[in-house]
Order: sequence, then structure tokens, then C-alpha cells
Amino acid sequence: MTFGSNFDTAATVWGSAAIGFAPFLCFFFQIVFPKSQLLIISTTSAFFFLLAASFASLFWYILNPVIGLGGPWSALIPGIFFQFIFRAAFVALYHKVESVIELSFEKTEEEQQQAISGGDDPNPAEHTDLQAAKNKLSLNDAACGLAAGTGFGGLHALLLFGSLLASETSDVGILYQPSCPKVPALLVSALNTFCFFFLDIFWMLFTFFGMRRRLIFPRGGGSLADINPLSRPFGHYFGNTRSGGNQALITVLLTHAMAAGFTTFNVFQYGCVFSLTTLPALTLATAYIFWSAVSKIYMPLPHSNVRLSLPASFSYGGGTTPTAAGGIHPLSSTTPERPPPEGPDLVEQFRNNDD
Amino acid sequence: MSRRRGIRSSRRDRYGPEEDEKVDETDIATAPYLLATDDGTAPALGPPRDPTPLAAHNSSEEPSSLWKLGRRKKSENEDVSSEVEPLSPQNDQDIFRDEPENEDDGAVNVERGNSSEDDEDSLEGYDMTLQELMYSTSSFYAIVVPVTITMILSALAVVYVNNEDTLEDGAQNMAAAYQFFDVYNGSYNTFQAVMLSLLNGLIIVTCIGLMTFVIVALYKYNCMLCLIGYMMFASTSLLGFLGGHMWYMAIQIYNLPVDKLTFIGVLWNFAAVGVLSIFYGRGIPKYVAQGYLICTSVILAWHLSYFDDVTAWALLFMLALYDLCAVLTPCGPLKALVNLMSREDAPEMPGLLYEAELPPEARRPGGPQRGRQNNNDNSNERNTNTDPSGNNESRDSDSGYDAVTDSRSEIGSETEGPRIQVPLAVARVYNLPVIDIPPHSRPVLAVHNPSRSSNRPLLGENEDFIIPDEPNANQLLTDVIVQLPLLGGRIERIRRNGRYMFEEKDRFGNPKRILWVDRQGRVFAESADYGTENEAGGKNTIRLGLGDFIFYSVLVAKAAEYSFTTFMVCMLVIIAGLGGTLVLLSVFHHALPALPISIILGIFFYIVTRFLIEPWIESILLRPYYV
Repeated sequence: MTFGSNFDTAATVWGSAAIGFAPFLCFFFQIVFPKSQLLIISTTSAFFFLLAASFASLFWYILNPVIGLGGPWSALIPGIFFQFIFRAAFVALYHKVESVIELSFEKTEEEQQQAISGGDDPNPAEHTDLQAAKNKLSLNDAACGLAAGTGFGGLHALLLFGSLLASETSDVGILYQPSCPKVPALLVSALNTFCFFFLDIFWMLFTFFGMRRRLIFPRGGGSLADINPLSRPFGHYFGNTRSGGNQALITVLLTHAMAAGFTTFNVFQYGCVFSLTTLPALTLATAYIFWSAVSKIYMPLPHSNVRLSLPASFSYGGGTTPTAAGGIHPLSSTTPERPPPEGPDLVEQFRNNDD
Repeated sequence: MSRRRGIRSSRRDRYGPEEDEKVDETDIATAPYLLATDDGTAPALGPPRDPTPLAAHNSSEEPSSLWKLGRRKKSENEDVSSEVEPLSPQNDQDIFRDEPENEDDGAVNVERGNSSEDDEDSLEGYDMTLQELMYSTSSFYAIVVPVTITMILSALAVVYVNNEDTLEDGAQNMAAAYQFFDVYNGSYNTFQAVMLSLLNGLIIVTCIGLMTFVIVALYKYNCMLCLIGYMMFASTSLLGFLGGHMWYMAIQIYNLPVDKLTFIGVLWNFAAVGVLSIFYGRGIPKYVAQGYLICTSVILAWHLSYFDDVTAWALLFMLALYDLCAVLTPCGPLKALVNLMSREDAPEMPGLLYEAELPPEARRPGGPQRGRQNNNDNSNERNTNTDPSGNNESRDSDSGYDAVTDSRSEIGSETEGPRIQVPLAVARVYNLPVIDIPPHSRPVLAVHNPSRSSNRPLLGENEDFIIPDEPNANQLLTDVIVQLPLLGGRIERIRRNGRYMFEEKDRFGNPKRILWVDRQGRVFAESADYGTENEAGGKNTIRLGLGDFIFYSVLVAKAAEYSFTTFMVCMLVIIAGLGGTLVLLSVFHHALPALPISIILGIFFYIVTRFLIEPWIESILLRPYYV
């Protein structure tokens, strides 16, 4: 093996690794690693991806080697489906943990209030400790969505691209495939991994948005007019409603299926021309959908774990700006922390505006 | 294969000329006592000046075992700092004044304690206190980094400091040395090989258990020199010989130009510094000791990875089961060791545990509130909920907190407070009335009274004594028995790094400061930085046994031998299992084994990855597709 060949192999390996893992490493060490709770969320979401991959592989094993249903979709469809299911399951678990943490805060605050009111507060330092704990354990959908997406997409990249990378590190030459005779297979996979990592981030953010709205808002209600995204301003296209949450989840499924489907162009010779153009385009499109549809309404209400008791017969309205009193607020960190008003006031709010 | 344990000397000078004198560890001496104030009857002594505000304190030492997660507040070796001024007698101190008895105090505290008990008892399902949450998250964050580094280094070492010949030779040597049934060379089918490997694992685990019992016996009967010597010998051998073997293998594989003298010199220094940093530690940065513990784990994992695949996985499975039984069952050797090491005067065994520091806000669950409740509650259940470690339970029940209740109910009467034996210097600082002197102090403080009856014994308990106005150093270090008021602060004798100190607590049981007496009879309190730490002079840490590091690394290394995918999956599930164990540690409040969850998950997902996930990935990457 000549020096030039070894150098090419090393350059290909390291360069592809940089392309494929750079987003994950940047997100992980810049956003996730400095905070303990985000590290835990990221690790847990990675574990959920592992569960999704396990189930997907089991179904593939039943479909392909056992039943004999070959083809790429026997591997892709279970992958898409179980990743969607386990993303949603992770977010559901996150909501449960969030409620536990909030319950702990409430109990600690109650105990401190009792101690203060009883005139027996020997440890005023505990008040600052409570605030420090609140700051440390504070969870919000944006940071946790990013962390979860990093973990989910990170293990996704490590398993699907890392396996190929590890197998290509030996000095046996550079692998080329018929789908892309001019570009090393490692580089093609690296580019796929790059796009899919960002897609995983957006898919997880969409899942957080959708599951949160499904948690907040009850079933029923709404009208057909609400489905029209253009009835709302830019950044609110999906609407801060249960229907909007469902739309976000459906977007995840569709875009994931499209992304996986675009990679099936590689079955043809020179198919990478299509896959390596459509996949980045889809990534940009997904980013645009996130920006236009949920970016202004992504963060939930302050007490978003409170299930609103609304009659099923209420209907959404259109268009006016929300009020500050207990309505659905856009992306804002200054929302007053109080529970939304119950009963007719809230129904009226919804009748006037849902964004 | 024995557990590595390291110990330091447990017999150090306490203070002054009484260093060789055995401490009279009676209940009186160890029980927390109330502090007296200047009531006019005592000599003109006073409370300490400038009381240092305290954070939550926990004087208990965490249990430690090779394969158990425990939390410990380690107090570093502290010499009497010249920067800290000794305490001097003062006339008034609000903290230690005899508080008027409040009829509602006990009821309130008991009620509060009961309500807290009810609150805690009502916690079910996923409910956790805030402190538990903070502690869990911080513990996970602190321990996951060294565990991950160890696993990655072990995997790299096993993959890159080996070739096919070395693997084959190593497997044969390990089979010859450790396997009762030679699975590697024998002609068995898969099922037979698995069963025989499990039997081999059982035999190895039995030997480990027997050696652990020997260690427990040595520790129990204070054969510390024997243990220390063995641990140091084991560490030296491991770092020197096994580490040298690993380095020699790397030299051969990569043709590194190293001469013999350099090889021996570097190895000698490597082993010597490692042993010093692990077992001595003074003057050596903590990260050096931590690095050497990681190196120890990597070297041993590299060595153990020479087992053939079936034997290695079977051994890991048996070790997980053994850890489960050894820690949780009453007759388990690790549980016995944990209980022994949780005693207040238990000597430490370095070289056994990796210790990671936690942030100050991550306090161990059950700090000051526990003390408040323990002042009024005789229930040991609260003690059991104080700490997640069982050792703290038993230790607290054997010493401090039970002694609190004992001092109130047995030693003291309803009208007068309990008595405590403290050095005269401490009594002077807190203006405590001296009631009597113990027998060992009589040669220093006793005064012959010619007016007493000749029928009375020479050294009876009514022997007169005099407290000099300006005692010398010898007299200041002499123990005296003082009586404390019924309500007020407390003093508890504690032991840190082989020295006896005194912990001052307020009337609610909240620790205020740590006191110690130097050889000149001067009393020192902890520095102002005490408020930033959970205990005076100590750090809030979490400890993980070195065996956990080793066997996590063995599992990941064996997975890495197969493929990168199995390596990543096993590393992830081990970290996830470790996190789950830490959560359970906070929830169940007693010692838990760290191996079972991670090892069982690792074995399961290794099989799933090898036989399901990898073929699925290969089918996806065929074109390549992506999903």
C-alpha cells in the first residue's frame, strides 16, 4: 500500500468524520455538556433512539430475513415509525419528570413558607439554595428540545455513520458505490449524516411542540378553518392549539419519510445526484417550516402542565392578538406566572384568539 | 482476584501529649451535649467569638465499598492553620445561651418531623424531594465523566494494544490460570460452553467472595497494617508489572524505540507516584490520584479482557449477581464491609474508591432538617432516611443521633442537661461548668484535700480538683466533664482523618462549626469558607468503587473487540444504568450495588446489537440509504 493511498484513506476518513460528527460535537459540548440536566436529557433521548433502533431492527428481521419482504422500505419504514414513536414516548416521559420537579419545588417552597410564617427559619441560606436549585433544574422546551435532539441525533449518527466509519479506517482503500462512482461512500454517508442530524433536531423540537399542545389542550373543538395555516401570521402557522400540535407531529412523520425516501435514489447509478440535492433542500425546508409555523409560539404557557378544562364544543377564532391575561402567549419569557383563568373567560379568550 | 483497597494510618495524633492515650469512648464522651452559658457558677469562660455561619452539615462518613455507590463527605487533612486565630473565651454568645423552654418546641418539631415523615412516607411513585433531585443530577454529572473516560481508554487499549497473536496467547494464559473448565481449548458446543463458562464464573466469584470476607475480617479486627500493605503491594504490582506488560506489548506491536533503562525508570516512577498519590495524597493534586485510579482501571480491564468471549460475558453476569447479593443481603460481605466502614472511627481505605466532587448546592438529602428532627424524635426511621447509604444509617444509629436521644433521655435528667467530656480548652471557650474530671485527667488537675475523710478513697469520684485560671498547655488538653444546660446548643465528638474534633450544633441540631484543639491547647474553629462546603473542612463528594470502573470497562472493551456499534451501545447503556442507579440511590436511601443494572443492560443490548441492530444497519448502508 503506497503512502499516497494511505494518506488519501486517512484524509477521507478524518474529513468525513469531521463532516458527519461536527454538528453533534458542537451541539453536545456547547449546549448539552455544560448543564447536568441537559446531559441527562441527552443521554436519555439517546437511549430512546437505541430502543427505537432495537424495535425497528426486530421488525426488519421479521420482515426481511424471516418473511422475505426485501427492499429498502422493509428497513426504512420500521425505522421511521419507531423513531417517531420513541420520540413521542421520550417527550411524554419528559413531561412526567417535569411535573415531578415542579412538585418538588412547590413542596420545598411550602416548607419554607411554613418555616417563615412559624417564625422558625434557622436556615435562610436554604432560600438561596432553592433558587439555585430552581435555576439548575429549570427545564424549558427549547433547551431540552435541543438537548434531546442532540442525544437522539447523536446516537443516530454514531450508529449509522460511525459503523461505516469504523469499518473504513483500515488501509484497504477507499470505498466507492455505484450510486456515486465519483464520491467516496464515506463522504456520501457523512453528508447524509450531517443533514439528518439537523433534521433530528427539528423533528425533536416539533415533537416537543406537538406533545406539549396535546398535553395542554383537550380533545375536540376547532373548526376546519383552523387547518389553514395562512389564517395565522408568520411564525404561528400551525397555531398554538392541539390541532397545531398534531400538525407538527404529522410534519415529523412526513418529512422523515421524505428524507428516507430521498436516500432511496441511491439504488440507481448516479442516484446520489438526486439524494445529495434533495436531502439538504428538505433540511432547509424543514427549518423553514419550523420558523414559519412554530417559532413564535414554541414556548408553552408557564403552567403548561395544567390541563385546561374546556368544553369540547368551543371553537377557535382567528386573527387577533392575544391578551396578557391568561391567554396563549407567544414566545416570551415574561409571562406572568399564574394559572390561566378558568371557565368562560378562557373560552372567550379562545373564541377571540388562539395565538 | 481480590478487591483493591487502600488504607491510611488510622492512628494519628489527636492533640498534644495525649496522642498515645486511648480515648475513653463512652457514651458520655461521644454523645452530643448542650452547651452551657455564663450562668455565674462556672469559671469566667466564654463562648467563642465570631461564630461562623454554617451551611448544612453532615458529619457522617459515607459508606464505602468496592462495588457500591456511596456518598461521602471527605474532610481533607488539615493542619492547624496559622492564618486562623484560635478562639478565646468570651462572655456572651447568643447561640449557646440556655434557651427558655418552649412548651411548643417539642410538639412543633415533632409535628414538623412527623409531617415531614408523612410527607416523605407519602412520596411514592416518582416523587422526590428537591434535594434528592439536585443530588441525583449532580452525582450523575460528576461521575459520568471519569466513567466515560475510563471506558473509552479501556476500549482503545484493548483494540490498539493487541493483535491477533497477543489475543490468542492471552486467552490461553487466562484460561490456564483462571478457568476450572477449559472452555477456550475444549471442544464444546455453544450451550455447553455457555454453561461451563457460567460455572467458571461462579468459581471465580466464589473466590472473590471468600477474599472479600478475609478483607472484612482484617478490617473488623483492625489489621490495618496488613490491609494497607497488601493494597499497596497490589497497586504497585498492577501499575508496575501489569502496566509494564501493557507498555511492553505496545512497544512490540508498534516498534517503539525504548531502551531497557528508560523502560524500568519510567515504570518505577509511574508506579511509585501512583502509590503515593493514591495512599498518601498529601501535597499531590487530587486529579493525579484520580488519573492513577483511572489508569489502574484501564490496566486491569485490559488484562481481564484476555478472557475469551463466552467466559468474559459469563463472568460479568455472575459478577453482577454477586454484587447484588453481596450488597443487599444481610450476610453479604460487601454489606458487612460497608457497615464497618461507616463507623465514626472507621479508618479509611484509599485506593478503593474514586471520589468526585459535587457542587455546593448538591447537598446530600437530609441535612439540617434531619438534625432538627433527630433532636426530638427517637425514631431510627428518620435516620434511615437521612442518607441514601446504609452505612450512615447504621453509623448514625450507633453513634451521633441515637446518642442525641440517649443524652436527653438517659444521661441527663429532666431538670439538668447531660454531661460531656471535652478538653478543658473547649470548656473554657464555651464557659461550661466543670463538674468532674475523668480518671485519666486526675494526675493533671486533681488536688489533694486534707480535710476529707480518711475513709474516702484517695481517688474517688468526689476527689477535689481545681481549674486554674491560667492553665498550661497540658491542662488545657486534659479532658474534663462538664454539664450542659437542658436546652441550647450541643457538642458532639467526631473523628476526622484520625483526629478527634468537636462539632458544635445549635439547639435544633444544625451544625455550626467544627472545633479542634492543637498541641498548645488552643481551640480553633473552621474557617469562613465553611459556609460554602457542606461540612467544615470537608467536601461534598460522591464515591464509586474502583471495581465498578473496572468491570464497566471490561464489558465495553469486550464489546469494542467486536465492533464500534456494540462499543457505542454498551457505553451508552452503562451510563444510562449508572444514572438509574444514582436515582435509586437517592430514592431508597441506602447502599446499592452499582454493577447489576448496567451490566445486565449491557449484556442484553450487546446481544440485541450484535444480532439485530448491526444487520439492520448493514442493510441500510448497502446503497447507502439512511433513516
